[in-house]
Amino acid sequence: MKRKLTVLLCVTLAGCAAMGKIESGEQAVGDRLVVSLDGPWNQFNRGVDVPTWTVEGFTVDRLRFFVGVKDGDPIAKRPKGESEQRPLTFHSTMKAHEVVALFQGLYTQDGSTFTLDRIEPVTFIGESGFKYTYTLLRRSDDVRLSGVGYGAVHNGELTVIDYSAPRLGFFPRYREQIEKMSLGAHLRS
Amino acid sequence: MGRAALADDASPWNPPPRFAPPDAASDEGGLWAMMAHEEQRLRRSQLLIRDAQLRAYLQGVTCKLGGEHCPDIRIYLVRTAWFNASMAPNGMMQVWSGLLLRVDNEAQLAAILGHEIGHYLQRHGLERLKDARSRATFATLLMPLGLAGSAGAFLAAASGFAYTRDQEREADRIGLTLMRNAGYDPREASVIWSNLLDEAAVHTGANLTSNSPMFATHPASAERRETLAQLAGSGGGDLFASEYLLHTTLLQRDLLDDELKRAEFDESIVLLNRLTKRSPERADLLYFRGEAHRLRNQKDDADLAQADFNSALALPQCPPEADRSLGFLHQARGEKAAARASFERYLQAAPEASDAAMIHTYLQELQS
Amino acid sequence: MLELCSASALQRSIFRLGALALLVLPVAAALATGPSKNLAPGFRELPAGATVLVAPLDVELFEIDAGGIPEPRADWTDTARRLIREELERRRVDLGVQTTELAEDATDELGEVLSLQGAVSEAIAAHQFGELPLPTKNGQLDWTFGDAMQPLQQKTGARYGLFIWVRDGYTSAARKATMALTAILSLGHVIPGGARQLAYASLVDLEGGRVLWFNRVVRGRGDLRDPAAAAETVDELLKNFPVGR
Repeated sequence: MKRKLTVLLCVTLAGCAAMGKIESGEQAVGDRLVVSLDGPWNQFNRGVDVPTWTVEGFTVDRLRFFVGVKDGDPIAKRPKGESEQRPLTFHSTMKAHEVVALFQGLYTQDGSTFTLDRIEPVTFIGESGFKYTYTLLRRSDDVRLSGVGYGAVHNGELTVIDYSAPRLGFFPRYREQIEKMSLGAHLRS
Repeated sequence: MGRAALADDASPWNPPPRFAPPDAASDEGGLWAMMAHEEQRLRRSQLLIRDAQLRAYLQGVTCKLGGEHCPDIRIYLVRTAWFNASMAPNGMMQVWSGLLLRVDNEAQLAAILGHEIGHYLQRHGLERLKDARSRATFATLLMPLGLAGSAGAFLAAASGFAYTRDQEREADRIGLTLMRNAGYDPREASVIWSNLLDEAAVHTGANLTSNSPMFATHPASAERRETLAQLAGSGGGDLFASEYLLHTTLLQRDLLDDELKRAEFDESIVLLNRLTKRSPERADLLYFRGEAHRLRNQKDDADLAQADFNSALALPQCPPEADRSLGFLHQARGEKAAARASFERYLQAAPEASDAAMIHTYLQELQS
Repeated sequence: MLELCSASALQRSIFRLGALALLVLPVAAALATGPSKNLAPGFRELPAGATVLVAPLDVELFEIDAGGIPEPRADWTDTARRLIREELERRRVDLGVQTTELAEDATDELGEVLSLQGAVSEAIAAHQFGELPLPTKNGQLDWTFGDAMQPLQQKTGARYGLFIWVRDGYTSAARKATMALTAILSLGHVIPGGARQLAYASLVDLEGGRVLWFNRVVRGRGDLRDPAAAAETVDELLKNFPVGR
């Protein structure tokens, strides 16, 4: 609550940037993940759990970076009162299906409906990783989103790049760009 | 097709004639406009199940019960894994898909629809809507957007809008009468509440009055179950079990997937225990119960899951995913040979599966 | 006590990023400033003879309880929607273009694109007109639906679409007495204190998908259940509607 009020105050003061610009070229996310961007993105600087970027605005598209999630840590914070039976905790022994189940749990906390369309192996950050595609029916406004995620475990830590945008008009526009960026990502040693 | 009399059927109730639409300028007319708008939102909702065959079937059961009122009642099936059926005074009836999973036959479906039609025929909703608070919260209840995360709001709205106990009793009685007149066995009404109570009891324990969001709009209580059983008397009438199964069979897989996605595995297991007992020949139910155990993953769940998958695989028409899940269990325990065997069987049965390439990768890892 | 991030707040949230503007603009009636903010680059006005589809109004009114939680009020919404529609009817002739309507019951198959329209417009309201501009947009009205709007064009024959969206909330008397400004931000869902009204009008080229014109109205006073306030809101929304005069 305190952190969120800080965001609010920050926004009302002149010269405080709640939205940052990520220029094209090589950029580092979450300290260690390096991506190569063909175009600029917008980043929400505070008030979110994981680095989150957008092109069209947060009610439209979201690019999220889960970088170096450690064994035993949750992939994101869980709001109070949520079902304990929907796990969010990553374990290094998890296989691709289990990691994707964590994201399903994360995205359905607000009552949204998640359908996994496909999961397949892919080389990501130099590891044998996985790519998953999904459909998300967002409960708050009945918007149908398409999503894609790229993930892998490196040295026992999980890194995932996840992008979602409306199925109509938007996801098709950005999917290639996201694929190129994700498959070209690497971790700083 | 016997006609069961209600146990204390001294003065038979007759349905009122069809209702005329209200004058648009009146208070009631205003309510109608409000409901019409919500109905239009429902009609374009992404959660609406648009399967024409299934909708026609549900509409057909509604018409058997509603008789003359049939043209005024429009039924909408919403894809939400919780149990709910509700009817607005303008004739819009909403049924949530979680209900379809919990109903064993057409008679039980008729019990619930009949109950809602009972509220409609006696204009209970209209009485409630005249109360300002109810009107305000009405939209919340109408929203097909359902629960999970908004359980609190839904409960609050449901209690704000709730019918009185007298209205509930009246709707129960009318529902039974409609069932009897349409040739259904009215004893099934009590059965369905019994089943729901068992599911709710997993959280509320021995206290049979449920506050679960599952039953927010249909308070379940032992008293209700007893009353329904008593009123149904000696029964007689049809269950139409095979008709129900026939029309809902294509949807079963989706309904069971949705049930697991609720991540309320304790409740799911209670439900699936009942369903597997009812239909021991169905491999898919055993598979899903196995999944509920596997995903809950407490104490001896892994063993229970494995047993269910093996039972499922021994039956005809077992979903190939049972082998995949067995593979996951073996993989988690480091039982490489067993895991390989299971995954290979899965790929043989479902080579075009959307995760086939991923399973191939697991197989490669398991070779080492 | 409900979580403010609960789905009930989310699903009807009127208090998205755009409403943050109220915190820096406590005085009511903030309007978009220069023409470039409201108009897509290179677009000035609708061509003569253009047909505009006036889409079904999206109006929702809330009551803010003592805890600051907005609860939808179907009855208030019904009143406001009716008043706004009536006012819009009166103004249609002034718009200076051919208009056509899509009956509400003809929208069964259009749910996905209509809800998408809402989400995009909320983004524009928040980022183009609110206090969280997207740096990559360079201050321009630069959004497009691609081909997603073409079914609307096919269904109605209209080349353009006008979408109007209104959210408004009223506090109870109890809360007015304790007017502390508390706001909780959770990925865009801001719930400030006091009465607030957020409305937008969006003009879209249904064929190419480009958002051509957008206007946002934010007010801290006025009751949309009252005909005068509804008229004022429609008036402000349609100010600078891009037609040749």
